[in-house]
Amino acid sequence: MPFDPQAPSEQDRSRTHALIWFGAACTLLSLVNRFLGMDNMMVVIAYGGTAGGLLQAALSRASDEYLRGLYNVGWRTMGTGVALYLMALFVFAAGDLSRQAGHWASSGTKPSDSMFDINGFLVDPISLCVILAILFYGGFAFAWLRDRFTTESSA
Amino acid sequence: MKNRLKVLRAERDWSQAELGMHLDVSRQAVNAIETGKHDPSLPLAFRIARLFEMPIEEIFDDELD
Repeated sequence: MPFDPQAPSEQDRSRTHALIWFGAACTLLSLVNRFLGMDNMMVVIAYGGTAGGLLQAALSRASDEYLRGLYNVGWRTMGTGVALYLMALFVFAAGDLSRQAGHWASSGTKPSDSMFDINGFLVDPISLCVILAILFYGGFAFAWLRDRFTTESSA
Repeated sequence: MKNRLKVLRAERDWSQAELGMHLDVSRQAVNAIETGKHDPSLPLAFRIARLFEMPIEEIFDDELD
């Protein structure tokens, strides 16, 4: 293997493990901030740490294959969350469309009201980002904990 | 998958961090492989085999699962 002077060292790789947990803690702080509100300095740290952790998971060269395996569970959890949210929108919208079609078929007129208000179903963008970050870190933490409880320990 | 990584590392008196340095992975990854939490990729398994100058099947054993 050719020598790469920019290759991450073992310390760099170990540091990424610690930084991802810092990102997870910052995401929890972001969630608390959405409900309770926090000091501006804490908000900056919370959002910065959340974004930094996700960027590290997506782009960092220092992540090794074990850590990337844990990231993958996080990404899948986040993707599943997005899919379920969109699926719920689809089901409600399809139900509403069916009702309107039934009303039109029986009376020949379009109903004036709508059973499903899509605007009431959407959350604000910042909360949505925080929820998605929580899903990522939740999946990551689940995979990490699953490993702890299903295998032997080593010094 | 069971493996002899912990024994081989102990024979050389290396810490997990030192072995990680040789293999270009973190100390946590070495621990995960030693305890069976993570099965290494084929390239990493080959690096381990070359480092210890042993065939892969003498280090890893999928029949003990």
